[in-house]
Parts: sequence; C-alpha cells; structure tokens
Amino acid sequence: MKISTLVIEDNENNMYLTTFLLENSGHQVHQAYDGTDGVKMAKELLPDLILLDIQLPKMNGYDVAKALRQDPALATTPIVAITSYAMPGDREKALDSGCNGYIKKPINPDTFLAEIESYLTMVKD
Amino acid sequence: MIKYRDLSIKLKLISIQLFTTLFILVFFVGIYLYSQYREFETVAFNRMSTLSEILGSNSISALLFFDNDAAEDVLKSLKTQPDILNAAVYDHGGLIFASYSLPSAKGFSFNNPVHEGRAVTSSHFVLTERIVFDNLKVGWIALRLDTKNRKAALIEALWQSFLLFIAGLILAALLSVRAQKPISDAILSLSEIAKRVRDSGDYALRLKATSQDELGLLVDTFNDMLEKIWHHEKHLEELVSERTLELEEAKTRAEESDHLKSAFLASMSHELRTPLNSIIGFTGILLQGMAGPLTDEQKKQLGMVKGSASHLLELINDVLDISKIEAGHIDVHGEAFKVDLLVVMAVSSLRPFAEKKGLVFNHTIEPNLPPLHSDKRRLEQVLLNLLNNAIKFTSEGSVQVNCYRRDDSLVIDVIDTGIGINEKDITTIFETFRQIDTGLDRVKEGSGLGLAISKKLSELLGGTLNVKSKPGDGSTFSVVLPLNLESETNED
Repeated sequence: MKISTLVIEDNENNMYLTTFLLENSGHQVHQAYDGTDGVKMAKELLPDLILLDIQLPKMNGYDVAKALRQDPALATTPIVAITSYAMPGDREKALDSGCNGYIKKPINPDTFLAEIESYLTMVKD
Repeated sequence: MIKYRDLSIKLKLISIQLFTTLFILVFFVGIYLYSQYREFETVAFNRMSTLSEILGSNSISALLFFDNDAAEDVLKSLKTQPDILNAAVYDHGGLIFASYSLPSAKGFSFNNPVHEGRAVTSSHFVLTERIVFDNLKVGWIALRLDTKNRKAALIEALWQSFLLFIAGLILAALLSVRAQKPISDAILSLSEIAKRVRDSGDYALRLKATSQDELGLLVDTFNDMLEKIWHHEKHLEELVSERTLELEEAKTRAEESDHLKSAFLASMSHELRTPLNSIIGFTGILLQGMAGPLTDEQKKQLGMVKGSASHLLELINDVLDISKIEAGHIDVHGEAFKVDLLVVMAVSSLRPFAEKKGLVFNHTIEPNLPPLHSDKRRLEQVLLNLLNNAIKFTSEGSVQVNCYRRDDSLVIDVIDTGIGINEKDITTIFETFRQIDTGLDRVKEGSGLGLAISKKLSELLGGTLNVKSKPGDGSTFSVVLPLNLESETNED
C-alpha cells in the first residue's frame, strides 16, 4: 500500500520538487498551500507522514504542528519540518511545537528520501 | 596664654574698643591733670599780682612819706589770705621798708627785690612787682605763697579723673558689646551657613543681608556664589538626566535595531534558501536521471549548475554565519564527545578531494584523549573549514592533521605544504571579507569568511585559532580548546 504523505508548502516550485521526489519513491502526495488548509486536510486524510514548511500564509508551521498534535488521531503521525529558517533556536522551536524532525532547506535530493524514510521507521519503531 | 589672633571676633572687637578707649582716657586724663597743675599756678600768680597791686598802691603814700608803720599796717591786711606766708615792701633802692609774715610762718627775706619777676620752688611761689606812682618808680613789693593747696587740688582732680576714667571704660564696654554685635553676628551667621552648605550640600540655602557695608557685600557675594553653584548643580543634574534619557533611548533603539537585524537575518535566510531549494533540488533530480536520460553535455552543464548552486549556498551560509556571530546570535551547546571520532569523520569526508589533487592526507591522534566538552557541530565546522582551505591552497605535498593534548588543552594542528602566507597578511587573514592574493592563476572559491568564522567560533568555544606560516613553506593552523577536565570528571 502506498504511503500517504501530506506536504504543506506555499512555494509552488518547492511543492513541485518535494511532490516529484516523493511520488518517484511511491508516496501518495496531498498538497496544502497554507497552514489552515494543511490542518484541515490532515484531519480529513489522516496521512502517514506530514512534511511541514514553517513560514506559511494564514498560520505558521509551529502553530500547525501544535494544532495537529491536539488531535488524538494525529498524535503519533510523524511530522517533519522542512524550513529555510536557520537561526539558533529554530530547531528547538520546531521540536517543541510537536515536530519529530527538522530538515534544513535547501534539501539535498540525493539524501532527502533516505532522511524521510528514517523518520517513518523511527516512528513505527 | 591666649593669643590675640586666636580670640573670637567678638572678643577682638570688644578688646579693640576697650584698649582704644583706655588709651584715649589715659591721654586726656594726663592732659587734664597737667592743665590743672598749670591752672593752679596761673590762678595763684594772678591773685598775688592783684594783691600786690592793691597793697602796693595802698603803700604809695607810706613810701612817699617814709611812714614804715603805715606800710606795715597795709601789709597786715594779708591776714585774710592764709596761704600768703610772707610779704615785704622795699624802697626804690631795694632797702626793706616794711615786712609781714603770717603769725604761724617763719620770717623770710626776699632775694634781690629790685627786679620784677616770679619764682617757683617746690613748695612756694614768689612774686616781686614794682610800685609805681604817676610814672614814678617808688618801691617794690614781694609776696610769697605756700603751694600746699596745690597738692590737695591735684588729688581732687585725680579723683575726678579716676571716676571719669572708670565711667568712660564702663560706657565703652557697654557700647562696644552692642557695637560689635552686628559685625560678629554677620560673620558668625556667614560661617554657620557656609558650614551647613558644606555639611548638607544644599546649595539652595541663602543668607539674609542685614547691612549695606562690606559685610553686607560679602553676604551678597556669598549668596551669588551659592546661586551660581546651585544653578551649576541643577544644570549638571539636568544634563545627567538628559544624558541618561538619551542613553536609554539609544539602548532602546539599539535593542530595536538588534531585533530588526535578527528578523532581517531570519528573513534573508528564508528568502535566499527558498529559490536555491528549487535550483539544487531540480538539478539533483535531473542529474539522477529521475526526469529522463541526459546527454553527456547536458550532464556536464547541469554539473556546473549544481557546483555553482552549492557554492552560492556556501556563500549564503557563511554570510549568515558571520552575521549571526557578529550579532551575538550564535548559541554554543556544550556536550561531551570523543574528539578522535570527530577528526576521523572530518578527514574521511574530505579525503576524496585531497586524493583527487594527489595530496598525501594523514592524521595522528594521541591515544587515550579525555572526552572534550564543547559544541561538536561548531568544532566540526571549524575543522572542515581548515581542512578545506589546506587542500584548496596546496597543489602538491601533504596535508597533515595532528590531534593531541597539551597541559589542560586540546590542540588540533592542520599542517599543509601549500603556498603559505606572507608575514604582512598573517594578521589580516582572520578579518571578515579578506582573501589574500595567492598569486596563483586559479579560481578562488570561497567567501573569504571561512577563517573569520572559524576564529570567532573557536573563541566562542573558549579557545583560540592561530597560524604559523612562511610563504612557500606551507602553513600550520592550530585550534586550541580548553579540556575542562573538572566538569568531565563530574559528569562521568
């Protein structure tokens, strides 16, 4: 069965890039272009994995992660923040708001899928 | 004995007045007594003169008629004058004609009676005068007066003077006590206020001027002085609070600008990485052939895009790193880790590049090094940067890494046989945006920030980064970090 992944990302190009990589490795990708949409879709679809940008319109990634963690159905779903934020404390902030991991942009297409895979197995274990 | 100059102003003023009065009194009493003394003589001689005139004119007929008895009778009228002891009448030639002595007095013979004159002895006055009748000199009369009354008169004058003297002194004392009061009071209040100002530092105190004289002027001047100091102090206080306010404002502005700087850095980081994400991502996808097969030329050109994009990312990371360091936004997380592992990892990750250039790339690590308590990621960043530089600037020979303990410090030396650094450049290579002219005809990749970042990171980790080099003889960069052995022992 295909892995269902929700990508929440506002930049069209980057959304296409992430989607392309994920679909190539057999994921079923759902796209949300802002925070509120992301929360709505996550609650409807209950995906296996959520990739979350932090700087988003309407609702930022930290708030999205917090909102998702409040839903019992999404309490253990792996959420990986993918962000260009690189200030000290950003990683901690992402982890504190409920993310399982943190991948810094720009993503490396050679290692990206392996990293995603590690979060999936980590949560399963 | 109390010295005059140590007396209080009050006593000085009183004593000045008393002594002045005393001297004046002594002077005038002396003059008075002397004049009394002289007065007695004048009065006595005037009386004697009057008497001799009366007696002489009464004796004229007796002299003209050679009637000695009549002349004696005339002289006897002197009985009413108890201080006239002796008297005598002489004829024109100076022969005695009649004489008189007070019954209680001894007889007396006048010397040289043929001259008019006065004689003064210690106890007697003698007067001799001519007796004249119708411009005719008919004889002489002489009187002798006892001056014992003079002493009594003088003693009386002395008593009067003494009483005046005492009264004068008492009056002077009373007056001087009153007269000195405004002066000494003004000076005392001046010194009192001066003392209060000194003790309390209250420059708002003022004196009340009570007179228009020099003391009043002094009080006015003193008040003016206080006024000036008070204004000056107020001005200073205002200045201080003004400056404090300015400083606070500047601090707020600095904090705001610091905040803006942080926000700007975060935003820049985001904005620059977002498009780069697509560039690097899609280049990678294309190169992997995920979007379809590529020709060799397309692969070569896409490889160049990937290289340039990676270089651009490196530049962005360096610029952000140095900005964060300079803005104080770098946090250092201490953790204990094995430094030999870190060195091995760094060396192996860069080995392909060194070998590609045909360089000998070795490392030595002292056995049994204690674990290092530091920020692993930051140290790794420093080490990778140093190794990258060493490989970049060495065209033949070797790059050697030595990791060892020296006293309480850990040292990592990165030694290359590269182009080396001029003496004049050694101090500038650690400055930001400084890339020295290597003189070699090749592309110098890098932002010129690597060494500046490495040095600042080493310092943030509590250590140092130093270099020893000679042009053409290679360079040795040394990272020295404290081992913090005590905290290690505690954690183990």
